[in-house]
Amino acid sequence: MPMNQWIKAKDFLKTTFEISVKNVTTHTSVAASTVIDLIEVNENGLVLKLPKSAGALGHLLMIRIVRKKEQQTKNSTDFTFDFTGKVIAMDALEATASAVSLQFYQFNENDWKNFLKESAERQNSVNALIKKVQE
Amino acid sequence: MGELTKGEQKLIPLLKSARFLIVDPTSSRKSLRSLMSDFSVKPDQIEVVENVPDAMHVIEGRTPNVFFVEYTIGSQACFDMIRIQSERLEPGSLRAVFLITTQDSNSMVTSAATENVDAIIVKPFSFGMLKDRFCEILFQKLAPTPYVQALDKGRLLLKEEQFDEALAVFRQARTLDPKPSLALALEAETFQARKDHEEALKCYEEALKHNPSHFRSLLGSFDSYLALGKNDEAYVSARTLAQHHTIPAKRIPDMIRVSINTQHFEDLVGFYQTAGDLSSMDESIASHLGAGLVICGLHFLKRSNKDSAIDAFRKAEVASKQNPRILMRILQALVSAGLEAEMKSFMSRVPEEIRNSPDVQMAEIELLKKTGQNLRALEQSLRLIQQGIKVEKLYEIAITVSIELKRKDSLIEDLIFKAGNAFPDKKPYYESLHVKSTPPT
Repeated sequence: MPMNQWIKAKDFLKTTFEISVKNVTTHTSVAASTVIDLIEVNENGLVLKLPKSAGALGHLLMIRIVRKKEQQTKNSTDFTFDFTGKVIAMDALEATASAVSLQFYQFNENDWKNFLKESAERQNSVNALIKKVQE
Repeated sequence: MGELTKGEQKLIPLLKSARFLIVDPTSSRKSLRSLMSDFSVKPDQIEVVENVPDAMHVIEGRTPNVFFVEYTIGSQACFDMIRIQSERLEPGSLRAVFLITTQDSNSMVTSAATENVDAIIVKPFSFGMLKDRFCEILFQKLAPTPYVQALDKGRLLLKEEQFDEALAVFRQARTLDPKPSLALALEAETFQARKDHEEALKCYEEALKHNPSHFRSLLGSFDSYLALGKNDEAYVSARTLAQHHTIPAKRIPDMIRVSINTQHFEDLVGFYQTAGDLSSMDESIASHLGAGLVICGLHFLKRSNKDSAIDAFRKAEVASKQNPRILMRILQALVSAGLEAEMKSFMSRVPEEIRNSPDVQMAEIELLKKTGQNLRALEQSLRLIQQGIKVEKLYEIAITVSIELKRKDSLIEDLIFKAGNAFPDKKPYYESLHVKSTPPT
């Protein structure tokens, strides 16, 4: 960091996820403008917040997750993960949205392992930063 | 969701009487409810709300011990709720705060850490990760080490303003850890609360011997030096802090101020350049940066470095996104310096509503007068007066320019009459302008 800077661009670097969803069973796409949220991950699947109309139990959904590092001006390190997943649980969150649990049907295991590893690293680096400030 | 280890099971009885609040406008509640269920927390111990007013209602009533909050609710609202939770909980009772977010920027994390957030759960999380973090924090809270216990006791005494007792506890705590920087920093904060900054600085110095990049001690010594008016020393502390840590967003205005106080104007230019690379910046920081760059420009003007001044003003304009207050300060600076061409160029860039505001038009009139364009200054002044704009200085300029242009006495007296009506308490002053300028017979 040059001596004359109070802020560093990397301090404002944040991660975002762009998620697109297509229901293979009903051949319908979830509107891109809909707020989709990636909540939870596990070894064999994940939990997404989706509109209730996105699917039903047993439906197959084709998902693309693009992980981006916002505010990064150079060498952007986007990561894309495509998979097909089966809806194994749906829990109502609000009037129009559900927490949809998906079990992987077709996916690249290595890509998913990398994604999980990166999520754990993000959590660890946040833990370390909090400790550094509060210790 | 899963079985608990023997160690994790130890938390169950400790959480039996705890109150939980989940503020979740989006999506995490299902996972959090499962987590609570694993620890045998009963449904009536948990409140789930979706918005700030409902959350405030709960916090002010059945103040939760364990608080999960989604950052999407807004950073200020999150931090306000955390503060109120802390104030309302009985001293010594369990208190834990978990912030849930997709955002993981160092700036956000540092700000949250300074606002007493215990843990940040980064989305997407795995249930195992959520449980591990939950257990780690809760164990720290429910079974603290003797060092942490002593620090908590001291914090409580400090909060109750029992300074001597707090100091004794923090001094005792020093002996419980081989690197007691936090105990020393809290001791320093006790001295700060007593406004004894010299003693506070001694403690911070000691803390920094154990850990030269200790966040709390660097920030604390910065504050104490500032309180003592030792800007150069404050600047050095802040520089060390910035070298090792991310400056919390709410402290950035202080850094800008110390750069100005110590005449490190190049800091503001560097700040501006970095800020330019960012797609978004907190509005209050942008506004402080803009104000700082105006001061920077004024400094350059004082040193007759016109080009650097104009450059700084231009940057201030961009950084503050043409904040009207900043634009007015720039305009006043250009007027005071008599930089007519620069002012015209500046005026061509400012939005129409600002260009047509009485303040800006007044600044233009002052510049016309300053540059000897009395007739134009008079025309514009009379136009504004006719529009019903009431500004003391406007009448003063209209009267003095009228006198200088040797307008008819009746017209000048009419202006003085109008000025006196608009500002009755200034009437004698307006009258004196005409008397003074009347040549002796």
